[in-house]
Amino acid sequence: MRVAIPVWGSRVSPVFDAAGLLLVVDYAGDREVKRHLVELPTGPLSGLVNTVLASRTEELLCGAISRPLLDMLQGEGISVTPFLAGEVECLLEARLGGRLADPCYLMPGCCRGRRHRQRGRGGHHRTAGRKEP
Amino acid sequence: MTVGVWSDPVGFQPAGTYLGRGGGNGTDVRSKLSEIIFDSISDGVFTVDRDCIITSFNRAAERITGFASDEAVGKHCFDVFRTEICHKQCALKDTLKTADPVENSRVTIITRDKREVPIRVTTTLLRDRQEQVVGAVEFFHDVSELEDLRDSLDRKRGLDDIVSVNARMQQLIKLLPDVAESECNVLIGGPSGAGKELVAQVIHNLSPRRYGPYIKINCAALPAPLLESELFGYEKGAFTDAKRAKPGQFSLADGGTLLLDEIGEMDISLQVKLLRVLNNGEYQPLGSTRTCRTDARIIAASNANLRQEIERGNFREDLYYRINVVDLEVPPLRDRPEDIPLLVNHFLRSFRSRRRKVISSMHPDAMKALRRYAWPGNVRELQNAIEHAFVMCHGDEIELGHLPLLVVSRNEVVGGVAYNHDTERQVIVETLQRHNGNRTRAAAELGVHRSTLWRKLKSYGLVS
Repeated sequence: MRVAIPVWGSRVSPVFDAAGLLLVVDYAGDREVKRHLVELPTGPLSGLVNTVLASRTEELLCGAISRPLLDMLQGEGISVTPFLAGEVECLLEARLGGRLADPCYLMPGCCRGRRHRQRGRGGHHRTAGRKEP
Repeated sequence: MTVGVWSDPVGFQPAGTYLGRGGGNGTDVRSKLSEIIFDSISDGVFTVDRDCIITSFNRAAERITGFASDEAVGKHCFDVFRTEICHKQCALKDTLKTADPVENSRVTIITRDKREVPIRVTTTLLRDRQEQVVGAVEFFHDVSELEDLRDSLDRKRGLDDIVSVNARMQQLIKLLPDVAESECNVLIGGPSGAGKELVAQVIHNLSPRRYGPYIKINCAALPAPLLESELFGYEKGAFTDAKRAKPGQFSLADGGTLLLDEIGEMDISLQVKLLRVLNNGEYQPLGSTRTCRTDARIIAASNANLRQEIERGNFREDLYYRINVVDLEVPPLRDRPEDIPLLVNHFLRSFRSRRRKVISSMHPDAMKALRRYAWPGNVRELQNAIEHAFVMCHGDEIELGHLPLLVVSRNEVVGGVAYNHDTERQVIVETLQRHNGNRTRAAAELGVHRSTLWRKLKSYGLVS
C-alpha cells in the first residue's frame, strides 16, 4: 500500500492545494518499507493531480482541500482522508492504528460523524508534541 | 480600514490572552463592553498569540468561516483559517516577524463546510499596555458576492473563463494568445455545447480587435435567403418589405470579429459569396450594385466533419482551406471527465450569485452520477443539469435526486460508452405522458433543452 501525505515542516500541510512537498510511504502490511519526497507543482490543479497519480499513491492523507481537487482525486480512484491536522508521524501511526477519526487528528469542525466541540473560550488546547514549522 | 497597532483601547481581554489590564469591576464592565463591540463588528476579526494560536474569534469570523468560536480558539490559525498563503507568506506571521501591517490582501479560505471563499485580510500587531507585543490581529471580509457580481458584469471573457484541467484543453488554451494575435482565420471544431463559442469569444478578447465589435451568427438557425441578407445586408427595395436599407453583419463587424457558427450548414451558393469576402474582403449587399469592403476577422465553428461534407459535395473545398488557417478542436465533455468537478463548482458559483440560494456543494453520489453520464449535450447540458438541480434543491447540498432524471437514469459503464437506452426511452415516454405530450414541460422536467429532447425523440423513433 502506498500512502502519501503533504508535509509542511513536521506537520501535515494545512491546505493541500497549496502544498509544496508530498511524503510518499510504502507499506507491506503494517510495516513501513520505504519513503520518499515528491515536489508538488504550483499552478493549475491538474498538475497536482497528475503528480499524485504519477507517484502511484493509493491513499492520500491531507489537511484542508478544495472540493474540486478532492472530487478530481477521488474521481481518479485515490482514497482521500482530508481535513487532518498535526504531526505527520503521529498521523501515519494513527492510520496504522485505525485512529484517524479521533478528534485530536482532525482539523477543527471535522468530527467524521461525531459531534465534538471544545467548551469554553479560554484555554489553549494544544496537541502534545505539536511543533510549529 | 485604518491600520495601526491595536492596543486594546477599552481593556477588552480576548478569551485566552491577557492584554495587561488589572481586575476590578470597572474593568469587567469595560471588558464586557469591548466584547459586545468585538462581536458587533461586521468584519471577521480574530486574534492570535505569538505562537499563532487563536485567542479570540468574533461573530463575523464565525459566520464567514463557519467555525464556532469555541472550535477555533486554542487552535493554530492555519488549522482554522486555511488559505493558500499559510505555507509561504502567512500575513499574521509576517506581521509578527516584521511588525509591519499587511493591508487588504486577497486570499481564499477553505471554510468549515469545505467551501472556497475569497476574502480580503488586514493584519496588525497586538500590544499590551506596556507596548509589549502579545500577538497579532487579523481583520477580514468576504468578497465572494462582490467578485461574483464583478464576474457577471464583466463580459470580457479571458483565458481564465475556460474552465478545464484537461491536457488537450490546456494545449488549446496555450495556443489561444498566439492565435488571437495572428489575426488569421480560425476554424473551431467540436460537438455542440462543448464551448466553441467561448473559445471564439476569448480569441476576440485577446486579439488586437478586442475594442472592436464581436458578432456571432448561427448559420443553421436561418434559411439561406435570410442568412444572406443578414450577412451582407440589403438596399431599400431589394425585395418585398425591404422598406429601408439594412447593414449586414459583415458591415457591423468591421474592425472586429464575426463568428460564423455551424458553418457546415451554410448553403453552397452562399459559400461562394463568403469565399469572395474571405479572399479580398469585398461583398455586395442584396439589391446593390456597389461593392463594399469589410475588415472583419472571420472565425468559423462547426460540429460537423467538414472533410466529410466536402466529400459529400455539401461544402466547398476552397472555402474549407480558406477558413482553416488554424484548426482548433474542442474535445467533448465525455473525453474530459476530470473537468466535471471544476465545471460543477464554476456553475454552482455562478447560479448561487444569480439565484440567491445557499447551495454550496454536491453530494458525492450526485458527483459520481455526473462523472458516469456521457453528456451528449456537453458543457451546455451539464450547465442545464446544474441549473435544474438548483431549482429542485432547497438545502445547501445538491443530492442525486435533484439531478435531471436523464442523468440519473442512464445505466452506463464508466467512461460513458454503453447506455441503457431502453431506460432512457422509457423515462422520456413516461415524462411526455405526464405532461400530455407537451415537450417544453417534459424537457424542463428532464433537465434538458427542448432541442435535445427533440433529437432524442427522433433517435428513438418517437416522432415521425
